[in-house]
Amino acid sequence: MTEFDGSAQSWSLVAFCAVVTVTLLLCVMTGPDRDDLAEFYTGYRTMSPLRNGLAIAGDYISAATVLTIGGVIALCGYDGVVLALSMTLSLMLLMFLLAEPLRNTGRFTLGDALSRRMPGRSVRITTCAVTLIALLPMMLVQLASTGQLLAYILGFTGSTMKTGCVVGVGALMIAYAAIGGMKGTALIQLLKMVMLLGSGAVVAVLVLRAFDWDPGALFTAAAEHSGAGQAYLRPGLQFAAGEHPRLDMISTQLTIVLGAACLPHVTMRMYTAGSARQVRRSMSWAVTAVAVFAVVITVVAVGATALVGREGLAAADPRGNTAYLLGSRAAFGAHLSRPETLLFTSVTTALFLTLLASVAGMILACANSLAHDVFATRSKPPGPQRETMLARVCALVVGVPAILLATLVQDRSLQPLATASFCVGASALAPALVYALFWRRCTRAGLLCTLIGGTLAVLVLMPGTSLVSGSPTAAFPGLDFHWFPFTTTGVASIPAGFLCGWVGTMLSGRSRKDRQRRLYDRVEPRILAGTALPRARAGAPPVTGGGG
Amino acid sequence: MSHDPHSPHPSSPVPPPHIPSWSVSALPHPWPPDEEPVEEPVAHARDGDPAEYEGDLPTRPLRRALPHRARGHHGDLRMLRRAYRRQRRVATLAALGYFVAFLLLSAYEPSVMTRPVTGGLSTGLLLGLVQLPVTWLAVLLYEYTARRYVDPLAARVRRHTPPDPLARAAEGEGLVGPGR
Repeated sequence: MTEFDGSAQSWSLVAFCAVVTVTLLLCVMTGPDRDDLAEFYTGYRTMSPLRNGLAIAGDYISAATVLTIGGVIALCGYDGVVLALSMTLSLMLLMFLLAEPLRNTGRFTLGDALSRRMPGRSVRITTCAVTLIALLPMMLVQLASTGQLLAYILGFTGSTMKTGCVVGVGALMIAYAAIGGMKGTALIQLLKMVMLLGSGAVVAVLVLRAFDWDPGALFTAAAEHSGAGQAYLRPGLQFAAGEHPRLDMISTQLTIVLGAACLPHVTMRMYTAGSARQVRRSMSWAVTAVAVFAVVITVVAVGATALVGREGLAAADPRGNTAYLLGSRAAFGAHLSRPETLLFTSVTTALFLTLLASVAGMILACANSLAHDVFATRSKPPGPQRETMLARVCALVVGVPAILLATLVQDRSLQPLATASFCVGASALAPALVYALFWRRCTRAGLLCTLIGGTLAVLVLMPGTSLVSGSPTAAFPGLDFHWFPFTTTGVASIPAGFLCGWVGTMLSGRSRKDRQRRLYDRVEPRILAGTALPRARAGAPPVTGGGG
Repeated sequence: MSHDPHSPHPSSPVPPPHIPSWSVSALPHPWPPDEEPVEEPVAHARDGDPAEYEGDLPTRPLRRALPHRARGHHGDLRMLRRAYRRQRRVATLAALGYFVAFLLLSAYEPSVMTRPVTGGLSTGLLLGLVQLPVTWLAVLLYEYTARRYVDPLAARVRRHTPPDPLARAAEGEGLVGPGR
């Protein structure tokens, strides 16, 4: 059911087709040459900090982020704003703590960075497995909501059409990842961020104008129409149904802070910078872009509640996922003139592009990890041509099952999948990165224990949370087998991840720890200061970066 | 010592002449050779680019334990580590501390957070929304302190570290490309 009138729908359809054509063309044009690994995996480090920063922000803000955060802000007010803030803080922490050491030690994938300290296949293979486990649920969420969103915008309702959309969009995303490599997907992310921020800013201005530039009036009106009165502006609405609402809220926000920025498709963009200073500047641009986006989505989503009201939002989608769209539509008033239709089309196009771009980045991260960490480290390393081809084939290998699984889950609530992804990022990847980059004594056993222990903790606890069963908005609303009284596993799995690493290291014996300490001393100059890039060979494109 | 299996085999094709033979060996350890690196060479080198002295390095890899290394390098490293640690800790604790305090206040003292301040906004919302310009300022401050205090130290340390043998190996592979 959609309230967009016919002209908005047809404009949107035209715009979508144009977007698909343009982006495919971009990918083909900027795709890497056949025999250069560095170009496929890192885009040759020739992108300016602004572009790289916007690409990082683009990878970070996925379609699920826009829709979910929009929904939570629209329905729960204060809690949603805190969620948007955690999102910004996560990227900021990545910039402060991990960005430069990662860029200094990593080469193409997370496995490279971790195995710089612990050389050997075991760490690489485990990292690849954790990457897949962390990103696959996110990919499913994005793909599955594609069908819903396109159906909503374009106005069709048949489920075969929705499945067809999922398959078609999924195939496009695989194509982007395989043809474009890092650079092609970076350009798409760039395009998406520009459109999203541009159209979002205009809509936010319109929403504020509708309330005479008074944010207080906006929030008051939203509180009146939200169905919860003043509780809308107070903390705790989102978790009110749970058993330990306060601890739940704190642990959810902290999980997002720790996990969102450690996901592999975000960290892979660290390696595309030429030097530590470049990565720092890229990250400043990225954090700024994400902060601006947080303001935009707050204003638009609160405007959605104020202008449309809770009933309207819940009728369209019980979790409020379409709040961003409804808010944009409502900001234009009842009757759309020609320029307003175009502006609204740009909003829908931005969302469509967000959908396309998110999964492309994730597929690329998984494919890179599979190709580089698992297949390319066997006893006879393949040449650069074969490894590039291998990475492209891996994009297919990862993408096709993701599409198939997405068509199966598209009718259920997808919240637990997205949450599981963040939890794995926070419980396995964040501790592993912190230990590997900063802890002298960490041994290989400790690192493996962190990765495996954190992931297992999430996988064991997640099915028992209240997002999977036991509440009307859960994935299986009819059943009730939840025994873990929180909505995220963070409160138990994050300490478990850190603890497993510590225990694993302590049990490794003194000689191993001492050896690791010595190895760390050798690697530390690289972690802290990086190395100068080798000078450009004759005839090759110049390599930028170098001395900070 | 553990090898990184990703380094090229000794039996790989003859490397191009400007890559010294020692870096193609199977030992990827990144510490500098035992001798002091010779003085910064020729005029056309970019400042601080240690890759330039490649031609002067010994042809066999040297493997000595840490204490025998150049003193200056070690002192620089210690200063870098301290500067880096201080910056990292201050930045992280400030950002994370503010946020955790905000969360705890929101959860356990909602009366503080819901006191209205201006218009219809409560303290909590205002504190939350103010976090955004504060974020921008924090990022700018971080960049400034890094550029001022950490980068010069890092450049000094980098001068004494030989270039990454793995990256050079990749460059070598890229060159050999279609001929394989």
